[in-house]
Amino acid sequence: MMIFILLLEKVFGMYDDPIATVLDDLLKLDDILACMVARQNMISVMPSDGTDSFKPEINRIWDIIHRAMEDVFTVIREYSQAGLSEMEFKLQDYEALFFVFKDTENALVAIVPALANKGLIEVELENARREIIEIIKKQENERLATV
Amino acid sequence: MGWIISEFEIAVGTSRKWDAREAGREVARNTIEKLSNSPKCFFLFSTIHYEKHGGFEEFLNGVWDILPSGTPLIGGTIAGFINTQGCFTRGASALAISYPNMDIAIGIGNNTKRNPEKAVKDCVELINKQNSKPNFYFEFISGPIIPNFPGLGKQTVIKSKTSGNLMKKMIPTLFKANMGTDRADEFLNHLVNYINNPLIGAVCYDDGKLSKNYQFYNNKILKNSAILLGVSTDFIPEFQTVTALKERNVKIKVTVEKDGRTVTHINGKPATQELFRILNWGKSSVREVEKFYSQAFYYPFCYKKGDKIHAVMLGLILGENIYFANKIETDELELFGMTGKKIISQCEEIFLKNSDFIYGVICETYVETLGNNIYKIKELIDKNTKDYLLVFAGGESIIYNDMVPHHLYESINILRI
Repeated sequence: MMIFILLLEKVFGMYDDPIATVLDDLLKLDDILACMVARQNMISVMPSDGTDSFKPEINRIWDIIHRAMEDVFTVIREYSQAGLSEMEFKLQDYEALFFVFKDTENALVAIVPALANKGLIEVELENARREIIEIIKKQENERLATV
Repeated sequence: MGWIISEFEIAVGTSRKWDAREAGREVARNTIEKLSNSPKCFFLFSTIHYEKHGGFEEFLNGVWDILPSGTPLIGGTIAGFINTQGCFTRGASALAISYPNMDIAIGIGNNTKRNPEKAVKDCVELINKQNSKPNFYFEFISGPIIPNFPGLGKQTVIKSKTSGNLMKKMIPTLFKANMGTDRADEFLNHLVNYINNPLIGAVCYDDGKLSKNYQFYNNKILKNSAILLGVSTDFIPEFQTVTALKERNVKIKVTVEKDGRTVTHINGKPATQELFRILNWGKSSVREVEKFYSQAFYYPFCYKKGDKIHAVMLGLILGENIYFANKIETDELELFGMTGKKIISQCEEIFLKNSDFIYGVICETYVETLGNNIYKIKELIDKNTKDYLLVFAGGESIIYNDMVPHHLYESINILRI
């Protein structure tokens, strides 16, 4: 778990981060208004253009959503080891979906309109989660190979 | 891949590229490169996203950059797909078949919403001109489009009694403008007057917004069309259908107008009022425009035709009248429901048998219901099936065994080899 967090933090801020590319792909979907990889008190990876690439309609509600997200991460931290894999909350006209990385405190987070076709979006979030796990594994293997 | 039928080859490819042209090239390349001979036909499927990322013309140009000239190509837009590569609600997939003992004939019918009977005749006429005697068929038909009512715009729920009654009279005009329900059930019912062999069909779809969908035929992008592909060969695949629908023990008596779709009364009471009572809907809780369907699709009213459960889907609320998306062939309906658990148990049944290949059409509501748990279906298919492509469609047609036409919703139809 620690390696996962360290790797995420190591790549945080890198412009050509492959995880950021996965997030860029998600943001191309009309109904994904914002997305990131985060844990409590830290957004680990943002899309390549940071919050600038979020859809403008999210700006007016971003602060309150961000605060609510912090509370959700308390639950994720508590129950991730017990098998918590997804969480969501609805705030006003928006929903935040959390796809937890197994046994870690980290999650892929996406903000979508409350009445979006969530089933279709979840499939692509699952694909993104799987891709990110593969990237992390690859980076970990590369790191081990150089030790 | 080892096949029971010698020299028979089938291949499935995928592209997740965003750029339409690149995606077209990639999906064509990684499909046909798995075949040792040129494809006899090429089925192309795409989610609606390429419309905004280069356009479908470029998407097809990309395919034809790679695909051998003259290969019969058919397909259309869908909500998503499952193949060995994963489950996707964005991207493109294709299926190519190569087999010397196989002939392909394609029929096209246009304006399926305006005149499904004529579309059937046009399809059949074209197939007959090719002197083909198909022993099974693939069908793709244009999906539903939320209608644009004069003065009211795009609407699914018209609460006013007066406006509802007025708009009810507009329905035939909307059909003429190729808007509204797909009429895929009528198309299929007409089609059985001309064919006497199995068929698997899919209703083209978008991402649940019901605002557009396309059909692909060679290098053409069609709207409001039906494509029928007849296969003449020396074997017949196995066809199968299952549904996850489960009775809720609520039966209703419906009074249906001559069009077979407009219900004026339920249990002798004004239809909308009684529907809201039965479903425990408040006027303010009814979602509108395309959001209506993510609510309504979970309340299918059904009847039995042969041994199959036919769902009739809520299409529009027009004041006191309820307009159903497909024709009601009885005066008694039963409310059904669908659960994730039932979907999985039905998939366990249909995907249990060892198969070399499965092509399947699954109702889009399955992916809406299961979300990322759709991967559980993929895990079940992976156990016993070597290669496969399942597409999420807006309706599923099947004819097999008893040759009774079944246009279904909330079902999984498969062709197994």
